Amino acid sequence: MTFNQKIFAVTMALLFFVIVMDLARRKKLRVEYSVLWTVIAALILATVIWYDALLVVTRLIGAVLPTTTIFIFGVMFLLFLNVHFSVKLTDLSEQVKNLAQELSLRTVKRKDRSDSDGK
Amino acid sequence: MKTLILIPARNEERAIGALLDRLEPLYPTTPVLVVNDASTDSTHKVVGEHPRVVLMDLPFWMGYGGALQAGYKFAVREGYDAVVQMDGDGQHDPVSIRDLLDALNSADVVVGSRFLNVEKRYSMSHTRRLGCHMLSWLARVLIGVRITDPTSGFQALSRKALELAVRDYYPLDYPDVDVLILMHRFRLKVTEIPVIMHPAMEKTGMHEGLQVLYYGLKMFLSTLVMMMRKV
Repeated sequence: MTFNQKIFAVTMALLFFVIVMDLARRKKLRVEYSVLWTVIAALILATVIWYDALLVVTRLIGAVLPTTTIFIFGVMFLLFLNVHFSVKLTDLSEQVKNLAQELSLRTVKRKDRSDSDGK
Repeated sequence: MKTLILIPARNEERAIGALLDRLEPLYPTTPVLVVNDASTDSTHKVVGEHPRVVLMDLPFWMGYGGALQAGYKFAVREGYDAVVQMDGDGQHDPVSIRDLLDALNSADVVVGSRFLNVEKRYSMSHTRRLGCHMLSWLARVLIGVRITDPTSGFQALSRKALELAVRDYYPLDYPDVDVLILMHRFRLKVTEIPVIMHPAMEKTGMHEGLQVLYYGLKMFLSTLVMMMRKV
């Protein structure tokens, strides 16, 4: 890994970390998510400092270039993250649906009651 | 038997008034609930002109299944023993409600089929008919019951079926053969009887064109998932 590559990777990781922390500070990002993203920044840093580990993993999965390893894991991570978000989204839409149905049910009942009150 | 007639409605201003007018003399003592799925036309106003009809407005467009489920929840909470659900577009003939309820004495879910009716043949596009046949075949293989018209929205449900349908299993868009399979897996009896159906007044069919493909795939996956779920 050349010096330039290292400087670039470290800068990216730090920038990423700062952005994530700032988002969490401004309550734009929940802390549970900031943990995940901080770990990602740490992983980028780790591959810079401990380049040999990347080479070992590269050999292990049968890739030729270390960059391939990075890309494969990057894409896989994004894929799983998207599935995770779909799960969250399903949860949220189910909750919103239940809330909305509950609201409608309560409004109907109130109408019933006011009708009988009037009689 | 305390029965509720449930009509999910999304932009049905043209047909729903006439339907409610027909229901009134036929079933004067049966309460009617219209679930207005955030219609953008005057459905709310038209239904409001029928004082005997209970109107439930949903705050946003939830989809056919979401509106139906809201109605089921109402029925369960108000202590109804049975629900007859029908579309608000005038396709389902109210005369058949009595037959559905009669059949409910020996079953938990009664599907009203447009194909079993020999007197009046129902016309539909070839793709849609093919889709219906495939779903029907699926139902026969998986639950061993002959259901010729699993996409029918004209159904009667017992209290037991209602209590199952208000749970989170229920699909939001178009409940179909997957729901029947779910009911069957919970040991509820599913059956089918002939009903009178008219072609819808004015509606873009939900089973047309590219949607057929999406719908078929969704139904396949949905059925698979329903079969894998623990009862």
